[in-house]
Amino acid sequence: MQRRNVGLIFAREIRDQFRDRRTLFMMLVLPILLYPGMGVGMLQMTVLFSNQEREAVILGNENLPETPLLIEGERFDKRFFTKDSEAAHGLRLILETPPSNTDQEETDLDQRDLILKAHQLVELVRQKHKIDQWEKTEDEVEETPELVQLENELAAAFAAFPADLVIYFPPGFDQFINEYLSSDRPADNAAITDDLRPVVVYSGADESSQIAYRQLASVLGQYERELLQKRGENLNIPGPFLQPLFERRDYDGDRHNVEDAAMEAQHSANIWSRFFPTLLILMTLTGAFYPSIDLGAGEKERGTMETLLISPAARSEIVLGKFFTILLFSIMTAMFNIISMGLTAFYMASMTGDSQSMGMINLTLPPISSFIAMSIMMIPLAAMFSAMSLALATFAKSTKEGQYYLTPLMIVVMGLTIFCMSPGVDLTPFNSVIPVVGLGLLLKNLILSPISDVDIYVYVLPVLLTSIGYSMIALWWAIEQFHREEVLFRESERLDLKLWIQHLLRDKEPLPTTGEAIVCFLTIMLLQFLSFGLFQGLFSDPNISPADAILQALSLQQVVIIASPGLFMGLLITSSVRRTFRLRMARPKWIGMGIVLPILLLPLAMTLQTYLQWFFPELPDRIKETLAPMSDPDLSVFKLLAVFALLPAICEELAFRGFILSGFSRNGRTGVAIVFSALLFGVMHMIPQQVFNAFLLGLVLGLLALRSGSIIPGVLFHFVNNAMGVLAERIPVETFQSRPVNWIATVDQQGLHFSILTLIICLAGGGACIWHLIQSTNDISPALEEEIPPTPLAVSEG
Amino acid sequence: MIDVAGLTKTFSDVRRGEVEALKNVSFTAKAGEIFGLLGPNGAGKTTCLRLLSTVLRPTAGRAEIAGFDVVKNPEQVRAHIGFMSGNTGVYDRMSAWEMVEYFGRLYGVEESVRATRQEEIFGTLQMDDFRDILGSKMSTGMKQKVSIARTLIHDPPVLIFDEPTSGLDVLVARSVIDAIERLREQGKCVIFSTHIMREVERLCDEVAVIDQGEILAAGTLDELREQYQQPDVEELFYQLIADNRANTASAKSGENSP
Repeated sequence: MQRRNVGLIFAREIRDQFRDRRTLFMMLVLPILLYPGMGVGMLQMTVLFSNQEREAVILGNENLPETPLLIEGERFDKRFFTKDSEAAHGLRLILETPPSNTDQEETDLDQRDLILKAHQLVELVRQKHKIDQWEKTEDEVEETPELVQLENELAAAFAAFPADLVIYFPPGFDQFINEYLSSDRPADNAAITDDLRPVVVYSGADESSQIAYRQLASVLGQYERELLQKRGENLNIPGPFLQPLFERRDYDGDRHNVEDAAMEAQHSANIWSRFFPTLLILMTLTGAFYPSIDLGAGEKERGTMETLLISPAARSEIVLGKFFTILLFSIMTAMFNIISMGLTAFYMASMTGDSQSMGMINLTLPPISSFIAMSIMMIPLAAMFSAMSLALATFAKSTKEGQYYLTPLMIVVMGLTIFCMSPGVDLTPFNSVIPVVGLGLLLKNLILSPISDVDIYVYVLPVLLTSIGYSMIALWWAIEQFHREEVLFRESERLDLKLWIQHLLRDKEPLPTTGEAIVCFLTIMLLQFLSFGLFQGLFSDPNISPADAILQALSLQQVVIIASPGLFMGLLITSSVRRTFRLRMARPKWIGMGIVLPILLLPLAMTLQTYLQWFFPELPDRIKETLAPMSDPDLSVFKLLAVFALLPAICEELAFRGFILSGFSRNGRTGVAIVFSALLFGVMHMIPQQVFNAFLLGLVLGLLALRSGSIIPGVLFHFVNNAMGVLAERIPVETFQSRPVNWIATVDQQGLHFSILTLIICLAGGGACIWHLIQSTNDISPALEEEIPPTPLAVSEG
Repeated sequence: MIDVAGLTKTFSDVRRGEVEALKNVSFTAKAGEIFGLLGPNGAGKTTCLRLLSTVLRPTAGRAEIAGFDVVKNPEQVRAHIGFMSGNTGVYDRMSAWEMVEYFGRLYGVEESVRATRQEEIFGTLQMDDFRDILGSKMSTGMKQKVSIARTLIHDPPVLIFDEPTSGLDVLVARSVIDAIERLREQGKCVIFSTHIMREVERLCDEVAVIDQGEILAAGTLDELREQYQQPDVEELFYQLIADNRANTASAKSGENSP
């Protein structure tokens, strides 16, 4: 590897990209124009939106005191507004008792209906408050069915309510205020009683109602302050030192609690914590997307791929040069987008001043440190996207094809991003190692950090390390693509399904190809997905006992879903079924290992699993419930052994160590083949705990299959391993309480605990066996069995 | 300089199944000599030259260039050859000068040497008028000259040209042929493929006729004329190919009929 060549290629590709108008447009021009454009549009929308007149129904306005004046005509008095526009266009009040100068006869029917509905709403709220004692938080109030019923009625009533909000002043309110203001005894400082308290009903879910409520709240706040001030003058105490007067418990028609000021910051951070990371992830991918198509498929399309390949630069150097170019463009695109969006947001926030006129959106930006942290986090993400895009784009024959391959990547990443940004999804040890998800959640938390309850710094290192790991794998894959002749020199062929099937059946090769192995795996996964519905039917069938249903479902799953795709494909498209499935006897050494090794490894695996419990998300209750009948002591052990041990041992070995491993190991790269087949074997198990366990198991099984050249040791291993798991459930607890069994293991609520001695013996024995496996050579190497004799190197005399 | 023995390449093709694009091909070419690879379209010429340039890996057999094995030392082989074919295009967004400069640097030619050599090559190939023209704006002839300049910038001992005159007008084709002739005078080993007999007669010291992946005949032109009793090279070439096709057709029908 020469750094000089990588640098040369990098420099050339960068210059090339800068000469491409499309790339520059995507990276620079688009973000610079897009966000300010969007900002202008948004501002116009909000201006229109907030200038709309909103309606508030005032019930019991006749109960308001004459002074201080709250309502003037159809509006709140001007002195409650700081901006003239709000005073003129803000809330339009619909009064229950119209001012005396208008004729009562003229009140139309609609208005009377509106007032009637408003009364119903207020009545419901008052009923509710009688039950919950005006308490506002959910956890303080017991959720009685009556309360829930009331709340549902309220929500329905508000949904059918045409105006934006209701405010009700109870009878006697004016009297209270007058007394309050005229009294000169500080003892009367007590706040308003429940029956006299004004009631406000609005809906937090309805944006229009929300805006109306903010205006109303501000007006009532001013009004209250004025009252306090006046009383303060009477008592010679400054107003602010008085106890608040109303202690309103305004009622949000959709939620129990009222928006309170402390939530404001969190609210705005929430918007950014969703918006910035989403945009950052998607723009990082988009930024990698277009250059990679140009550098991969475009190079082929323009006929310069071979020119580059015949230069002295090694293929890995070419890939690295291209990779760094894409990485740079990916990062720059994301940066320009974030900067342009940040500036637009900043400008908009400064222009609109306070958050109220923006409606619900508070544009307070996250601190600059969040931005810096985000930029650093972005690099491994960009690296992963760049390498993956480059690999896919190299595989493509043309730029058009490149876009087809990259679109699914885009969709998957979008799905993962949406998952991260959904409320309630937070960083957990397990989430932090999932590609894209871990980083997305970390970004989200970085913006939320001042108010986040997760201690995010614990996760920084694991997220970064796994992300770097994923990028390395993706990069390795891209280099791999560049080493494949069929990828670099694919001719444009017309897709002819008939011809292709003919080709598969006619030109059979002894072993499946890697592609065929992957198709086999995908078929298994697809069948498994489709079978969910089928098994659901089986479980809900009242004629079958739950335990039998599970046994039937698992047997079906093993035979139909796991074993048959590989078997069918093996029979149809390979010429040597015996070699594909390794159907031959193994040496006694390997048979013995198949029996002894699982016994040694099981305690280790179980112990490891207990130590890693914290890492995995808890099993959903549904799965626990489904599996519960399995520990029923009446169930025959033989039945359990057949379904949980024998069938998986045969079916899973045929599929994974047979067809799939043969497909992967055909190019002679055994290490890669074992890891990949184990990975797929793990993924097939779906439940995270099992995925991890099966992956480890798959590594050993793959190694055993390749070394022995036979499927038999693996089947034995798999059977013994699963059988021990089944039997462990059946051993009575008392067995572990007496000697000598308690030297091996003890049992408590958490399950089996193996003694240190057992673990040491197992570690030594198992380690020795695996070391021996790694050190041995394959009993049957692919070359030995090559059906076509190697072509002689004879030199023909010309 | 070039030593090829038993070179074989098979591809898997959807339509035809396993295809042997090159079957057990052997030949040698020496320094100061122009070796011609003659064959119709699809004969396996390009595959053979791609194997020599290490872009493809042989299925079987061995090839050595300037003492380096194409499988074991591909980087060294690439450093010692100049390769040009219909598939080695010119970058659209690079000027003629930049393109040659870039490859000179990739080959690790010292900057001062590269600069003088590049001036020299641009002079002899009459490329100075389009130094700064981008690849996307060049004519076919200009592109071909840039490609030739690219193969010469590191002064390799072996040059491999796959149909260097295809698609060129008479004037440019002539200058390309002249350039190849000069290379022989400089003691280079040149291997080039073509289906144009006049070029063969003018340039080649030795030829190999290739069809359907096999070498049908090899030697100097005089040797071939004598061996097949045919003074006209074009006729000789045609006869060889026609006979070979007739043979394989009859072999095939023989296989199929009981």
